[in-house]
Amino acid sequence: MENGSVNRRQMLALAFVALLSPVARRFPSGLVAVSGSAAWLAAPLAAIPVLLMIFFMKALLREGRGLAEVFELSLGRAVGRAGIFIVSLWLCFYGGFVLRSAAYRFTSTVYPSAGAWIFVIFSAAVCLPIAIGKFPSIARMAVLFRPLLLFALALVFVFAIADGDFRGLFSFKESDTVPVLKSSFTVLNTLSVVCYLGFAENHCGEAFKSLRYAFWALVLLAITELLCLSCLGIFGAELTVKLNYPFFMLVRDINVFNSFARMEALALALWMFADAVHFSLLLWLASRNFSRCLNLSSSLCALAAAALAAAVGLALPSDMLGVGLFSEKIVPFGNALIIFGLLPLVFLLGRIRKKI
Amino acid sequence: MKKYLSLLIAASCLLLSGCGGGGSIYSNYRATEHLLLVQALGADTAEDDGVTLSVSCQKLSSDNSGGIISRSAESITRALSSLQDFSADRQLYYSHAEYVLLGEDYAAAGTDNIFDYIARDNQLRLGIYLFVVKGGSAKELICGPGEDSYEVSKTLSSILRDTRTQGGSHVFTARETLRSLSDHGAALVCALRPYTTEDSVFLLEAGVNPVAEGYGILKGGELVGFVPSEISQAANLIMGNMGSAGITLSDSEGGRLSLEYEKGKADIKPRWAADGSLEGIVIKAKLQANLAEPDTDIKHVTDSAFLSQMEDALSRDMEKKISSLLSLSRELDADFLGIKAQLRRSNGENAAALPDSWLKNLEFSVECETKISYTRELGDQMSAEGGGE
Repeated sequence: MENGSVNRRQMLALAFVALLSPVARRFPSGLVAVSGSAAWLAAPLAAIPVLLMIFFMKALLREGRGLAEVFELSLGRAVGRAGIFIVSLWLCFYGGFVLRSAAYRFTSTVYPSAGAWIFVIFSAAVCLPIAIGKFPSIARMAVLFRPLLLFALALVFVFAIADGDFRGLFSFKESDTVPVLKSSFTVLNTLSVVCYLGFAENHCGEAFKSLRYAFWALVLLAITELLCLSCLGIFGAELTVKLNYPFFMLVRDINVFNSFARMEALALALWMFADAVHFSLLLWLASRNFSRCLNLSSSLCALAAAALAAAVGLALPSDMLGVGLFSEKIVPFGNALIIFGLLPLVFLLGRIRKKI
Repeated sequence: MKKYLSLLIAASCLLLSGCGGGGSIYSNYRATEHLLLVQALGADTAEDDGVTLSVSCQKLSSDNSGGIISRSAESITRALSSLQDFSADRQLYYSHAEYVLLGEDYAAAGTDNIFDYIARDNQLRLGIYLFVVKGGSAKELICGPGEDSYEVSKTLSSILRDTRTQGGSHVFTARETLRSLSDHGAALVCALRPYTTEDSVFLLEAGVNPVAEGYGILKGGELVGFVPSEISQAANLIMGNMGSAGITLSDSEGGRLSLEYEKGKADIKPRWAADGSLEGIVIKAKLQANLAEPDTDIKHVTDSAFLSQMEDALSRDMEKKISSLLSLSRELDADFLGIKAQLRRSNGENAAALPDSWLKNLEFSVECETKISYTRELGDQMSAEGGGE
């Protein structure tokens, strides 16, 4: 294990806070658009595949053997490093998309007259020192942010579920089966981003070894489920699909005993923490991988990765359709290709060659 | 390098604090005396397919006396901009707006624009309460007699409170209305009728006063009719918003009995044919009522036969109301009661296969069962007689 290791609690906090960013971005709109009022079934149905994914990562990784080591052992040093380099380029691209979508969320919900570029550049600049620093810093950030985010979520769920109308949620048709299965895959795909933490395995000797990751997965599935139920109960399926960010529209309407209202800016600010952790993690992983592949200092690699991510963030389309295309199609496809395509292939090759 | 980067980022935070705007650290800070807090917003049609927007602003203090402004323009955005131009040195602040009033003409022409604006705008909330003005304009209610002391929001908040308890009407939010329009293609909106003080005696301010009177019916976003207040109780029963609505019946001896509905529940049960087509629906309602005021021989009140007669009368009365309501829904082809959603819950496949004209051809029957549960029995009817010996 390298210097600067984290314990299991910190690693799980990191996985939780980082994954809240894509969960809040994609759910429940992405699920309801496909499966309508049956979208609430997607998270429970995704439980088994998610747990299988956790167990696959448990089989892949060992103490002292992270994903980078698996690539090198399975594919050989040169090809393995090429593979790590390509994955890291993808992590930079994905990070750029995270910056852009966070900026779009700010400009479309609270700051309509601001340009997205300032949010992209500022976010990249703020996360750069974190990415240059030690891995435990990111994990400790997540430990601090987790209770705030959980509190905000709990407040929203309590008020939304108390006020919701859930009568229409239990009428199923046979034709709902395929859409619900597609939505389950969307849930699995979104949560699969946790697998990139395998590149940091040597900072946590118990990464993916502990069944607590299974518990983490169930907690995130429960949050996804509550997000779906809240929006379906308050807005219904048809209206949820029409709204860009139904979760934030929900937050906007919350009124705590006529004393505390209009907290959507606060909720957005809290979500900035999840985006910051998510982006910082991607940047850290990419920079360490670049450093390994190119034998350069991690600080320089972090700077290059941040610049690349910022450039991608600025270059991505700024309209809703463009952001939606990347959010629903391109980025999920890229992640699925790596996590469900490349990783199992590397694992198989490693087993065939008896290297892992 | 990390230290220099961190210093650079900390310094750049100054650019984002809003200090640069007016050169003062307080440039983002807005004192309430510089704001006009809009409480109610009204929309009416204007010339050339434009819109007239009227706002009523809350009086906050002696320094901030509120105000009423009304302007017309070709679009909502232009009208709001024009309202700001005419608000002197204060900024109109919509974030705490509670009520939107739609004039009858405006609602009949289509409400898509106003709903779209409410959903898109960063200040307005979907939780805003919605009213339609029956037989009048929103401007008439919002502007009132044109006096500075007049605030329609006080009356509207009173109506909101009363409808929650009395059950004559129910005030829906924009979100609930939008959801109903999305799910059922139709929705109900609380209807207000403006009354001037010549029509009745009010202890409130002089001028125009709104009174809740049934519902407006939106179909596809357009106002297509009204549910009269006489049958709005039936709508409340079916939608699950039954409050303590009162009813007066006559007994067979010419006396009167006033009762209050305490609670009620209605279930819509579809009858499907073997081939999957809809034969009709049966609405079964169970109601509970209490005695409020017996203007009849008190001995009758404790007589079970009499009570049974009254329960039957209540049931027949509610059956008639529900039938009238369903006939109205059928006539307008507007599913504001969400009947199709109930059909979907019963059999999703059959409901999906229903033809477009299913509501126009809907057969229905209504069965009500009422129980008078609490008669507040007294030994003698309270009266002014007596006086000792």
